[in-house]
Amino acid sequence: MSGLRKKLNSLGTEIGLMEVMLAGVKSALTRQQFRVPQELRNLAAAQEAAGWIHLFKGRISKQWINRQRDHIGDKATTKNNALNWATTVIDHFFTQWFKVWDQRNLDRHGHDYQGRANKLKDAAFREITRLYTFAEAVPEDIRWLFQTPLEECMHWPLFCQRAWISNWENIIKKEHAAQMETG
Amino acid sequence: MQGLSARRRNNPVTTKQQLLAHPRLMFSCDAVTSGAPDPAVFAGQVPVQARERKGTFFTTWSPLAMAPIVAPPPPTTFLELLPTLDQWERDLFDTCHFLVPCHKALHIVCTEPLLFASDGGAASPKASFGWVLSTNQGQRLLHVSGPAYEAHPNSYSAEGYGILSVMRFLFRVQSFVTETLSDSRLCCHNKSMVASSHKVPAEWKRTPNSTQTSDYDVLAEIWATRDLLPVTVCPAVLHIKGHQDKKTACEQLPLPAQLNVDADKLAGDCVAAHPNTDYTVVPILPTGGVQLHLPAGTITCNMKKEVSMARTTEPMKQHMIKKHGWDEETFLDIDWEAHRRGANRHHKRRTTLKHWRRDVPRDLLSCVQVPSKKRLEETVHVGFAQEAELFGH
Repeated sequence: MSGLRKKLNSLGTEIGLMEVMLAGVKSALTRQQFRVPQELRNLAAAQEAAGWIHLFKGRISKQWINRQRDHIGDKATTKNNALNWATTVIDHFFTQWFKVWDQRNLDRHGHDYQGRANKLKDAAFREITRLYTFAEAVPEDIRWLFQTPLEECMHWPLFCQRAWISNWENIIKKEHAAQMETG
Repeated sequence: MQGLSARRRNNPVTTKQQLLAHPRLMFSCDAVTSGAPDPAVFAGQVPVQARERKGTFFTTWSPLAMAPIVAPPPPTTFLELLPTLDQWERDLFDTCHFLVPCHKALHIVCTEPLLFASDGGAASPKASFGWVLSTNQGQRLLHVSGPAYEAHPNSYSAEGYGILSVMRFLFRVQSFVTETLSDSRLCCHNKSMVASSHKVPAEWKRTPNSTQTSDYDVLAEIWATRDLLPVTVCPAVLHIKGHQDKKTACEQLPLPAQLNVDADKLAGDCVAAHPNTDYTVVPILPTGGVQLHLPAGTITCNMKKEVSMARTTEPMKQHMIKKHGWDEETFLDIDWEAHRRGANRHHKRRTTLKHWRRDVPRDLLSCVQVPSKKRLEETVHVGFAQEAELFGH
């Protein structure tokens, strides 16, 4: 938030506009209501219709730009104008959005080689565990697939786990579904 | 197959609309009209005899004695010639202002080496061109300016129209005067247009697909006009640096640069003088012969992209409206131009394909359909801004 405030300040954003944008961003993150000054109600309503969360995706109402254009007035130049202001604001949102996305990727897929390998193994084990929950509900003829105890599966190398999943996942799901239908 | 008479029997009410709708219609009348006809309706019409048989009206054409069409007298001055030209060519001399008497200017054209300077400018959605004719001593003879038509104007096509206008001027003057024109130079500050217009591409380069290149219609017309001119009359197209007056006073610049500044001003004045002109519909040029019309206007450049945009924009719009629960008004209220610019500015736009699909949140750049890997590779330069550009035009 402080980064956004700093950016909006450096771009010469109108004070009222800046406060509404900051409040809107905060409300999108916290899902809390906020008060809007009377003269900016239309603008807030227009962004509300599109969704405040869409600010992060660069989808801003034209009313922001119109308001900033009025604020810049005669001082507008080819570099300092409302469209460039909006472009820079959107670029800032994109930058922050991608930072979050990159962080999410690191958390999900691991930070280094070992971390990535562990994450992959965790994911494979989660899938096998889920498939083992069908063990009691599948027909007798394929129940032998679950002979190996789950604890032992956990110690398999990753390629074995992936091979087991890709070999049997579809069959187990299909047989389970058929069993559920027939009762 | 049901015959006409049978259909008439089934539907005895005969109206003008029904008659007009019939594919074998030979004549139409309005059965419900009553009262005295308005004479203005028949102005310029030729009377015919009509007879009806089984619900169909047949006309008997009897040629009437008509006054013979008198050919207008041939134009005696160059300025009289201009209104007799086709519309597309007239537009090339939309504003034609001789700075010396016309006959004197034409005499100079035939006796002294000449210098043309052409310039074009585009400020979407308008574009125009202007050119100046001068002697090598700097005596200005003629100012010409006109509109450069295009759905999405760019300076390249505007420069092209400027060069075409100069070529057509030389062609018309050459056919108008009896003497041979003196040699001339044409200065233009658009390097690519200078290179394109300089000479006709080799035969082996001219394929059907090459007609889809940007502003082919203007280029083809330039090449066709060049072919009509004798080699000695054809001007040498030269490149000069544009906008040199930004750093140096105009009077201190060399003559071609000065003329370029004048041409630039003429082009700007032309747009200001015609604020209501519709620039999106391009008059068809005879050599091009075919045009693509889309709701945005006539498309003369970026054909594939424009066709693709026209095809995908509406489904994409509907998809986003449905996905986000917007209404049409909300969708249109979003500034997609700013979105496009913001997306293009971001460094992630330059990401490679391998990382593209994994690293970019799909929702941010949602597409109607996931393109194949090959297509993605082809459009990787657009990549990040794919969605944004859909709505940027």
